[in-house]
Amino acid sequence: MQRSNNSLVPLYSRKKPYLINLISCVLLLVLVWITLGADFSKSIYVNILGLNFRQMEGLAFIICYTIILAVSLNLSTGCLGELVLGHAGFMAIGGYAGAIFLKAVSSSITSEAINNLYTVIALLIGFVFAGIAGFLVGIPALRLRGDYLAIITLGFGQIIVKLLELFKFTGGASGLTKIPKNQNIVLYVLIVIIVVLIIFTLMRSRFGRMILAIRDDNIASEACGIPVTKCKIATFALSAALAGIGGVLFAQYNGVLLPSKFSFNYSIDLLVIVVLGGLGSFTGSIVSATILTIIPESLRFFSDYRIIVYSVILIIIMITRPSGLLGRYEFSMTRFIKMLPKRVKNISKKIAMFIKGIFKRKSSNNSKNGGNEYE
Amino acid sequence: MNDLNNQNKVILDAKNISIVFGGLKAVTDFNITIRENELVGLIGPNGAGKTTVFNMLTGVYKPTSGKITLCGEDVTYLSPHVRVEKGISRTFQNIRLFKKLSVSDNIKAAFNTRKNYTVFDAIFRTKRFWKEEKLIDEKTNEILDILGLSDCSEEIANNLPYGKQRKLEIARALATSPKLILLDEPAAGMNPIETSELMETIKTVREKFNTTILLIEHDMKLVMGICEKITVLSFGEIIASGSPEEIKNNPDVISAYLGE
Repeated sequence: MQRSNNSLVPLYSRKKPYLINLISCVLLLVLVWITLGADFSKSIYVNILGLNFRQMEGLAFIICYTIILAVSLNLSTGCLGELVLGHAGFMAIGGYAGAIFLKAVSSSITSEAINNLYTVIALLIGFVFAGIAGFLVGIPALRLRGDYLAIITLGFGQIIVKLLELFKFTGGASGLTKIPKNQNIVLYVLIVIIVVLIIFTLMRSRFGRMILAIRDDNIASEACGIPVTKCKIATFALSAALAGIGGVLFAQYNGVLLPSKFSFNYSIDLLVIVVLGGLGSFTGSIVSATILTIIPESLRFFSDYRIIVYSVILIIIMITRPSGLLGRYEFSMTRFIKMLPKRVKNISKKIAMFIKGIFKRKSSNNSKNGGNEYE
Repeated sequence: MNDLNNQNKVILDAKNISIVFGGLKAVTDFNITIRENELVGLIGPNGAGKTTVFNMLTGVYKPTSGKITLCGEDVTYLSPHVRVEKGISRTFQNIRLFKKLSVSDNIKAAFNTRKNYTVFDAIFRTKRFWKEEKLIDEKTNEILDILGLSDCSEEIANNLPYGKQRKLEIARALATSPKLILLDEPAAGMNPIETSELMETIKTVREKFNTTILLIEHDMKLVMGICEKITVLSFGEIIASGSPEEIKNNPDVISAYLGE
C-alpha cells in the first residue's frame, strides 16, 4: 500500500536533519565557488555534453533563476492546485521594478560589495512589487472556484507585456538596457537556497498542511476551520513575489530586459518544467529546471532540429512518467544518508555475485574462495 | 423540550430558521435546541431538507430568516471557518477527506483553528514552532488512539477502507475541539457490522471528548439506539420531535415514512 513519505518521523524530533541539510548547502556553495566562482577555475578547459566552460557558466546562472521560477510556480500550481498561466508576468514586474532601481543607483556602484548589496535591495523591491501584483490579481480570481485563476493570469501575463511596451519608464518595446550586471554565481546559488528553504519550511508547517488541504478539498478544508480564500490569496501572492525575485536575477544576469521575453510562451515553458518535475515536488522542480535548461543547450549541434528533439524528449518523459519525474516524492538528505550503507552493501553484493559468476564459469574450484573475497 | 429537569447549558439554539432557493421553500421555521452532552437525531424522508439544515448551521448557506445562536452568541451570518473556530464542526454525507494526505496529516490540518504560531515561527523554526508541533503531534496521536486509527496513521487517506474513512472524518472533526459535532449520515453505505461499530465509536467520542452531537441518519436502528432526542423533518417542516419512543408511535411520522 502506498504510504506518504513526508511524515515518517514526527516533525518535532527532526532537528538533526537541519544540521545535515545546512552542511550539504555549505558544501554545495563551496563546490559552486570552486567550479564556477573562483578565478583559477576559469583557466581549466572542460567540455561536457558539447558545452565549453563559458557556456556552462552561463547555464549555471540560467538554471539558478529558472529554479526559483519553477519552485515558486510549483507552490501555486502543484501545492495550492491552481493553474497559473501568467507566471512570467509576475517575473516581469519583479524584474522591471528591480532593474529600474538598479539603473537609478548604477552610478554609485563602485565595488563588488556595494553591487551585491544593491542586488539584495533590488531583490527585495522585486519581491514586494511582484507580491503586490499577485495579491491584486489573486483577490478577484481566488474568491471563485475552478479554472478562473488560469484565465485571469493568462490575461494578466498578456496585459503586462503590452503595458511594458507602452510605458516610457520601462523602455517601450526596445526594453530596458544597461542594467548593472551582477554575475556572482555564489550569490545566485545562495539566493536559490534561501528561496527553496523558505518554501520548504513553510510547506512543512501548519501553513503547508493548510495549502495541501485546500488543494485536496476546498469545502472540507473550510469545514476544518481553514480560511480558504485568505490562505489561497496569501499563497498565490508569495508565489508571485518569489517569481519577482527570479525576475530580478534574470535582469541582473542579462543586463537587458525585453518585454517579448515574458510572453505566454515563457509561462508555458515554466509550467512544463513544473509538470515534468512532478506537481507538488520541489526537488522535482529543481531537477527538471536543471535538465530542461541543459537539454536545449547541449542539443545545439542538432542546430534547427533541436526543438524537435527537445519535444520528443519531453513526450517520452511524459509517457514513461505521467506524474512527473519525481511525482510527489521529495529528496531527503537524511534518508539518503540512512540508505547509503544499504545501497553500497547491495551494490557490492551484486558485484560480488557477478564476479562469483565469472569465476564459476572459469573453474568450479575457485568459486568459493573468489566469492568470499569480495563480500 | 419536554425534559424540563435537564438543566444543562444550551449549546445550539436555532429559532425559526428558513431558507428559500428561488421560489422553493427548502426549510421553513426550523427550531432546535441542543443542550450540553445531548445526542440529538435529525431524521426525515429523502429530500426533507436535513442536509440543508446542516448547511445553515455550519454556514454554507445563510438562512433567509431566523437566528442561530451558539452558547448565547449569534452566529447566523458568520462564515463556515469562523464557526468552526467558535465550536461547530461537521462531517459530510459523501466523505470529504484530504485524499492525498496521510491520515495523521488529515487530522493535523484541522488543528489550524488553534492559530498557534506565525509564518515567521515556521520559516525560522523557532522554539514556539517546535513546542506547538510537538503538542499537535501528541494530540493527533491521542485522537488516533481513541478512534482506533493509530495503526494506519501514515497511510494515504484515499487508500483506507470505507469504514475507516468515516472514522477519520469524525476524527478530523474532533481535532477542531468542537462544542458541537454535526454528523451527516455517518452510517451511509455501511453494512450492519460496520454500523454497530460506528455506534460504539460515537458513544466513545461522546464520553471521551464531552461533546454534543447532532446527527442525520436513515438507519433507524442506529438512531433509535443512541439518540436521546429526535427531530423529524418532512418537506422542510418539523412534524415531530421528542424521545425515540414518542417518535416511534407518532402517527405523523409513520405517515411521512410509509404514506397514508
